[in-house]
Amino acid sequence: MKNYKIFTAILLLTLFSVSCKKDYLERTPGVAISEDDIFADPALAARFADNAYNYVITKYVRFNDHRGCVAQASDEAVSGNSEGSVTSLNRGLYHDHSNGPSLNDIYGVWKLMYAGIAIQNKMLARIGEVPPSPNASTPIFDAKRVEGEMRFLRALSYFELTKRFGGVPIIDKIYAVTDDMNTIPRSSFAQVTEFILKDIEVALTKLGTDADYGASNYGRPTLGAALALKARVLLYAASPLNNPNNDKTKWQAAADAAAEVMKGVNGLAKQTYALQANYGELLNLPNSPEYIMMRIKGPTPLAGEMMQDFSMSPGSGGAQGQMNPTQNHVDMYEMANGKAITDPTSGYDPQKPYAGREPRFYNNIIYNDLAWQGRKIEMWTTLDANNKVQFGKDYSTTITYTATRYYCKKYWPEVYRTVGGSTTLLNYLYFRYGEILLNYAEAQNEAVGPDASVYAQLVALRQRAGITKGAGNNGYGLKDNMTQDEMRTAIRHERAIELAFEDHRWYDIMRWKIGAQTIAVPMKGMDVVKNANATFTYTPIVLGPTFQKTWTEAQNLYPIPRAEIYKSKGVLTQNPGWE
Amino acid sequence: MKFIKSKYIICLLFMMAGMLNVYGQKPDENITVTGKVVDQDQKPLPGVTISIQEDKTNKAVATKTDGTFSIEATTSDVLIFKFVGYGTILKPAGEVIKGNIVLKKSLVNAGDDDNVYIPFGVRKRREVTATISTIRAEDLPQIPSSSLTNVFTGRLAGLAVYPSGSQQPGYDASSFLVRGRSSYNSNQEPLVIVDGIERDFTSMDLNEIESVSVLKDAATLAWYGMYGGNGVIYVKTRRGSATSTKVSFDAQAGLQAPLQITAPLDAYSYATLYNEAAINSGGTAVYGPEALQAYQNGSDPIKYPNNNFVRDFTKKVAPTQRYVASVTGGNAFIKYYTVLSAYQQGGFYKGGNNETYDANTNFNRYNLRTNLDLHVNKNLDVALDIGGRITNLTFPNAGTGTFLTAVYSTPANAFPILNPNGTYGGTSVYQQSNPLAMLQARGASTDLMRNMIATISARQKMDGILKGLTGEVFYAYDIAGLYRSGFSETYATAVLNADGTYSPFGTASKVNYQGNVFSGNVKKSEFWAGLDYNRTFGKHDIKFSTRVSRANLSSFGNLDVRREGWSNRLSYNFIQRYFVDVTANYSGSENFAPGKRYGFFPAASAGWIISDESFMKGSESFLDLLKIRGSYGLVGNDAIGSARRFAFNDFYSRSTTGYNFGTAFAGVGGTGQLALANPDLTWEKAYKTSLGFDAKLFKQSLSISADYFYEDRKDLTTASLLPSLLGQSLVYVNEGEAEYRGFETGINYNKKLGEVNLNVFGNFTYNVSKILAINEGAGLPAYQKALGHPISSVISPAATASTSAGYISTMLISDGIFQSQAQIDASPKQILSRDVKPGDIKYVDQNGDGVINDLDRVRTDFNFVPKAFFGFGASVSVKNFDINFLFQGTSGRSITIQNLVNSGNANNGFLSQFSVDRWTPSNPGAAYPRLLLNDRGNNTANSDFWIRSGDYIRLKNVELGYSLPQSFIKKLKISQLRFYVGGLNLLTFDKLGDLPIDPELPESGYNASYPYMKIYSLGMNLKF
Repeated sequence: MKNYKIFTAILLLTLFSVSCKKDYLERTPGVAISEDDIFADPALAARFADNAYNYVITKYVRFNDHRGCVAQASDEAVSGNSEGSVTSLNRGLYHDHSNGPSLNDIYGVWKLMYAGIAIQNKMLARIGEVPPSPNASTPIFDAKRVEGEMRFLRALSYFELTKRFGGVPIIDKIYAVTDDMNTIPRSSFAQVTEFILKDIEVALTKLGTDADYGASNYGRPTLGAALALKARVLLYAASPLNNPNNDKTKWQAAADAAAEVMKGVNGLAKQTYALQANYGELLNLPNSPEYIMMRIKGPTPLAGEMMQDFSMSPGSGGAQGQMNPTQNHVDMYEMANGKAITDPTSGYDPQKPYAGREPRFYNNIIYNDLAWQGRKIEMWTTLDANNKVQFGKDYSTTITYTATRYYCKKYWPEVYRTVGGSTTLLNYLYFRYGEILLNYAEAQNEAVGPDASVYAQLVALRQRAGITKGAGNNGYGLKDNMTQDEMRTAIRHERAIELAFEDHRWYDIMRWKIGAQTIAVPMKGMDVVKNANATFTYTPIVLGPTFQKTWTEAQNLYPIPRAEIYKSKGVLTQNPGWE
Repeated sequence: MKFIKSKYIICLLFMMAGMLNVYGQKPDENITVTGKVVDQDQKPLPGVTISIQEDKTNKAVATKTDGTFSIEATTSDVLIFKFVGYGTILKPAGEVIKGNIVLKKSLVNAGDDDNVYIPFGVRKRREVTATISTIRAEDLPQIPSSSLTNVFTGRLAGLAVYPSGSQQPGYDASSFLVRGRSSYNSNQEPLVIVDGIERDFTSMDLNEIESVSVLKDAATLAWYGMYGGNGVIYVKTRRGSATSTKVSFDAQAGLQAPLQITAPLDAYSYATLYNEAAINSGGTAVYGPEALQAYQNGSDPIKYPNNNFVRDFTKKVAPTQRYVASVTGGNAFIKYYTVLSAYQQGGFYKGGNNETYDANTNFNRYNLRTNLDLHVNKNLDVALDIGGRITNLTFPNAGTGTFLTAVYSTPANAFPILNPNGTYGGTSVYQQSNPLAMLQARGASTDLMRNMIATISARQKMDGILKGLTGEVFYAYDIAGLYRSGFSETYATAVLNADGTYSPFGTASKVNYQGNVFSGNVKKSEFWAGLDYNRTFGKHDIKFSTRVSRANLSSFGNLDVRREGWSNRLSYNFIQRYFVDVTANYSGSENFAPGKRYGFFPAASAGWIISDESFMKGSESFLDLLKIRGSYGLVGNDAIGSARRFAFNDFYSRSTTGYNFGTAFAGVGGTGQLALANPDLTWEKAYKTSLGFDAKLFKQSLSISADYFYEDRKDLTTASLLPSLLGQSLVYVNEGEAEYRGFETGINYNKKLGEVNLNVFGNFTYNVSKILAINEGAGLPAYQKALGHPISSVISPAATASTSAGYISTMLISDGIFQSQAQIDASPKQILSRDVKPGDIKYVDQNGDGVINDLDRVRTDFNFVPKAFFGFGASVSVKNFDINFLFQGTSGRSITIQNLVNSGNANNGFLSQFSVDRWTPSNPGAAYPRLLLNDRGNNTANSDFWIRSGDYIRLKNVELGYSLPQSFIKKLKISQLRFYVGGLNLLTFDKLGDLPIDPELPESGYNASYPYMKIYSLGMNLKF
C-alpha cells in the first residue's frame, strides 16, 4: 500500500507540474538576434550595414558561381565548353539564363539588388536609433559614413538594375510582408536615374576620402566613388539607348560629372586619382592611385574555383579552360606603333600575328608560343610521321581546351600555377580612373566634339599603355583633326581595349546599340599548325556553330524575370520584344 | 528545467527502491496450491492443464469435473493455466489464493496470438476499430542484409518501402510512405516508433523485433497529434517469456551480387564513338586508324590502353555474414530477453594492396539488447530495456562516389593503370582518377557510430484508489555519436610522353593518420507519464488511457528541439460486439508562435461485429467473423517544409559571408536578416477518413481486410507570392491543400492438408493524390500549373554543374527524333541548342508560338510514388521441409533515364554503354539521339523522351528450409536445428525491355552509385 501511495503522489505531482509548466516550448531564439537588438548595439548595427556589401556585384566571373562572365556574352570571348549560363545569353534565351544557376545576370541580379536595397532602406530608416559608439579613434559605428554608404550602395544597386532592365520599380522604404507589393509598377528609366542622382547627392555630403577612412577600410565608397558613379550613371543616361534624340545637354552633364572626378583634390572628390604606371598589374594590386573603388579579392584557391575551373589551360593543370578570347577581340589590338592591323603601314604580319602588338595585348591575352610559367604555350596541331594529328599541350579538340587558341591573361595571372604555385590577388574594380577618362572623352566628344581635352584623355591612356608616340600632333597613333564620328569610333575602340574583360564591353554594346555590328557577326578563332621546321602557320577561322551568337534589338535590355511578371498580375510590364 | 530533472530522478529512485524489494522477497517455500478454474459465467472448467513454468520435470495436472485442482509448487513458481479456445493465464503460485481462476473464452480474433500493440496499450485484434497492419518478425525470412527495410518491403498493406539513396554497405537508404502523399512539401516519411519512442529501426537486427505495425488512420495517429500526420511505423521488441527458457542461435553466410552494374565501353568502341561525336560536333576524328587498330589488337597497352575498370576493380560477388544469439526466460518475478548479433557486409571493390589499411568498403554492425521485466510485487511492474548498437564502416578515403565514378566512367583508353616505370597512370585530364591508386595509395576512412538506447518504465496498480486504475511512468534516453578516423595518403600519376619522358600530375605523400572528426552526436530523452483505467462492468468494457509527454533532442551547434503533448484515448465496447474509440491529443510545437503553438487533434472510430448478430445466424457455416469499422479524425504535421526553424519570428543571423575591405583577406562579417517570418505559421492538418472491414471465413482459414481511405490535408505551406522587390527570402504561408484517396486490402489463407501446412498471403494498395490549392504565379500558363494534378515528380538524383539534384515535374514533350533536315525546317524552331540536326529530339510546341523554349514545358503526372504497390507470397511446410517466398511490386510509377544515358562529362565525351544505341543516318530507329561533345542542350533537356515505366514485380525473397527430425535432435539435447538457403531480389520482371537498369533504383550501379545487391544466403538456426 505504501508503495503505490508514493507512486501516486509522484505521478500526480508530475502531471501537475507538466500541465502547469506551459512554457516548455517557449524558447529563447538561441544565438539568433532580434531586429531591435541589432539597432541597439553600434557594433551589430555596423555589421548589419556591412552586410549590404554582400549584395553588390563582387566578381567578374560570377555566372554559375564561377563558370561564366559577361565578357563571354559579348564579342570579347566565348565559353570554350559551352557553359549553359553563357550559351543561353549567346542564343538570346534570356529566360533560360534567368532561371539558371546563380549568379545569373538577370533574375540573379534582380534578386540580389532588391535584397540589397531592402537592407539599405532598413539601415537608413533606423540609423537614428543606433546609440552613439564608445569613444575610439575610429568609431565602431559612424552614422554619417554609414548613411553615405547606404545611399551610395542604393544608387549603385539601382544603376545595376537600370543598365540591365531600363526602368524598374523604385522601393525606397521598408515594406512589410502584409503590404501588397505586386501593385508597384515600374518607374521610367528617367525617374530611376533621377532617384539615383538624388541618393548620390546625399552621399556626397556624408562620405569621406580614402585618407579619412584609413588603410583598413580601403574599398569603401568615397566621395570619389560617388562622383565616379554619377559620371557613369549620366553617361549611360546620355547613351543612344536612353537618349534616342541625342540630347546634348545629357552628354554635357556626363562630361561635367567625369570632369569633377578629374579635378582631383581641388574638386568634390577631395583626393587626386592617377593612372597606375603599369596596365598589366591593374587587377592585382592591394591599392593604386587609379582605384576609385574596388573590392579586394584575396588569393583565390585553384581547385573548385575560377582559376582551375575557368581560366587555366588544362595543359597547365586547369580543369576546364573555358575563358577563350575571340579573334574578333584579338584583332582589335593595334600594333605597338598605335596603328590598326588593317593599316598596311602598321607592320602587321599575318604569319607573325603576335609580334609587335601594342603592350595591352600582351597584358590581356595568352596566345600560342607565349613563354608562360617556365614553358611555351602550345596551342598548335601538327601531323606526325604517320600523318596522325598531334596536339600541343594546351589545345585539343576535347572541349576542355580552348576553342579559339587563346586564354585570358587578365583572369589568369602568371603566378597562378598548379605545381608549387603561389597565389595572387584578382580584384573586382568598380571604378578606376582610366574609365573616368574614357567616360569624359566619350561625353565631351558627343557634347562639343573632339576638342583637345578629348584627345588628351586618349593620349594619357595610350601613353600609359606603352604605345610609341610616333608622328602627328597628338601622336600615339591618333589621327589628327578627327571628325566627331571618327573620334567616337576611336573612343569606342579604346574603351574595348582598355577596359577589356572588366565588365564594361557587354553593357557598352547594349547602350550603344551596336550588337548587330559586334555580336551578330561571325565569332572567329585562330588555327595554328606547327610545321616540321618548328615554325607556325596561322589561319584565322570562323568558329563552329556552337560559338556563334545571336542578336536582336530586344537584347539591348534584359527581360524582366518571367516569374516576377507572373506574380504581379499584369502590373509589371515586360520589356519590348520579350514575351 | 531543474525541477523536471529532479522529477525524473525521484521517479528513478522510486523504481530502484521497488527493485530492491525483489531481493527482499522471502526465500522459496514449498506450498500446495489448490483452487478452482471457472469460465466467465462462473461455470467450472474441467480439463484445464496446469503446469509450472521453467519446470524441468514437466509436471502438469488437469482440473477435475468441478474445476478444482491441486499442485505442489514453490512461492516463486509461476503457474500456467491453458485450455484450448480459452485465453492462457500465468499466475505466480503465491498469488493463487483459494479464489477462483477465471479463464476467458477466446472470441474470434481475441486469442493469445491476437495482440495488437497500439501506442501505450494493447488490444485484441477483435477490439481494434482502427486500421493497423501488423507483421510478426517470426513470419519473416532471415536475410543477411544490413537494412531491415528489405525484409518489410511488400509485406504490409498501405506501406510502400522504396530504396531512396545510396546502397553502399551501411547505408541502404530507404524511404517509407504510408498509404499516399497529401503534402507536396515533403516525401511524408512516417514517424518510426520503437517501443514507444521515435527511433531508427532499419539498423536493428530482425531478432530484436517481435512485431511491426503500421498505424494508418486517425483513430491511432491522433494519439501523436502534431507528429503523426504521416502515419506511424510501430515496432515492438521482443520481451522475455515466462513459460520457458530458450536459447537460440542463428548463423548465416551470404553472397551479394550487383543487380545491375555499368558495362563500360571497350577502348575501340569508345574511340569510334568519340570520333563520331567529334565529327557531329563540327570537329574532326580524334582517333586515327592506327589508334583504332591498336585498340582492337592490343598491340601497345601503354600507348593504347584498353582497360575494363569495372572488371578489374569490382568483385562479382562479395561476402556477408550474420550471427545472432538470443536467450529468453524468466520466473514469477523477472523475465528477460537478451539478444546479441553481429553482422558483416563486405564491399565489392578489389585490387589494390596496402599493408597499413584495406580501403575496400567493409561494414560491421553489432546489436545488443536486453529487455527486463520485473514483477516487483503484486501491484508494481518495472521494465528496463537497454540496447546498444555499434557500426563500423570503412571506405576509400578518396570517397565512395569518387572511386566509383573513376571505375564506371573513366574511358577504357584513358591511361594505363600502371606505367612501365611502375608509376600510376594518369593524364592531364585524368590526373587523379586511377582506381588502383585510390585503393592502395589514397588512404581509408572508418566511420564508427555508437548508439546507446535505454528505456525504463514502471506500472503501478492503484486498485486501492479505483479498481482497474494503473499508473505508469516511462522514460527513455538515447545517445549516438559518430567518430571518423583512418589513414590519409595522396598519390601522383604520370603520363609517358612520346619522347620517353614522364610528365607527373599531383604530389604523392606518405601515409598519415587522418584528422579525427566527431559528428552526428545527438542526445534524446523522452518522458511519458499517465494513467490507465481498464474495467469491465458486466457487458460494458471500458479502457481509458491518458499520458503527458515531453521529448528533447539535442545536438551541438543547435538549440535543442522540444516536443510536448497530452494524449488521451477512451475505448468502449458492449458485449464485445459494438466498439467505439475516441482518441484526442493536445500537443504543441516550438515551430509556431506563442498563442498559436498548441493544437487539438481528435479522432473517433467505431467497429461492429456483424457476424455476431442474430440475423447473421445463417452464415455461421462459412463466416466466422465480419467486422465493419470506420474512423475519422484530425492529425497534424508540424514539419513546415522549407521554412527555417522558429520561422514565426524574425531573426538576424550573427555572421554572414564576409566582405573584404583593405588588405585583410579575412572578410568583415555581417549581420543579416534570415528569411522573413510568418507569425501565422501553423501545422499541416490531415483530415483522415478510413472505412473498412475484417472478415474471417471458412473456419478461420481465410481472412480478408479491406479499407477505403481518404485524406484531405489543409494548411500546407506554400511559397507566398510576394515579389522579389521585397528583397527577402520569401515566407511560407499555409495556403496549400492536397488530398489522396484509395484503397488497400490484405488477404491471408491458412490450411493444413495432411502433413502440408499452407499459408498464402497478399496485399494491395492503390492511391491517387490531387493538389487542391497551391500558390502559383497568376500568369503561369495553364499547362504549367500544378493545381489539380497529382502530387508528382520524377526523381533525378544526378546533380551536374548546372542542375541540382531533385524532382522534375515539368518537362518538354518529345515527338521522336528528327530524321531529316526537311523535317526540322517544317517544325517549330528549337533553340535549346545552337544547332538542330537530324538525330536530335523533336519537341512539341505547346503554346504554338513557333519556338521551343521554357514556355513549352508541361506539368506532367509522372511520379516516383507508385499508384499501386503490392506483395504476395506463400509459405508451405511439409514434414521437415519448409519454403516461403514473397513477390513484391509496384505499378503506375515512372523513372527517368536521362541522367544515365546522358551521364559522363566533357572529359569522357559524355559516352557510356548507352551511347552505342545512338541515332545515325544508318540507324534511324535508334533509342537515343545522336552523339555530341558539346552544344548538347537540345538532347539533355528534361522531357518525356527519357521517362520509362518504373513498374516491376520482383521475387523479393525466397527461403527454403530443412529441420532435422525431432527424433534425431532429441539425442543432441536441442529443440530445433534448421538449415536454410534463401535469397533477396532474386528475379525481376519489368517493362524496361533490355535496358540494363534496376527499375527500383535506376541509378544504382551507374554514375557514382553503389549497386543495388541481390543476396544468396545459407543459414542455420539452432534452438535449445
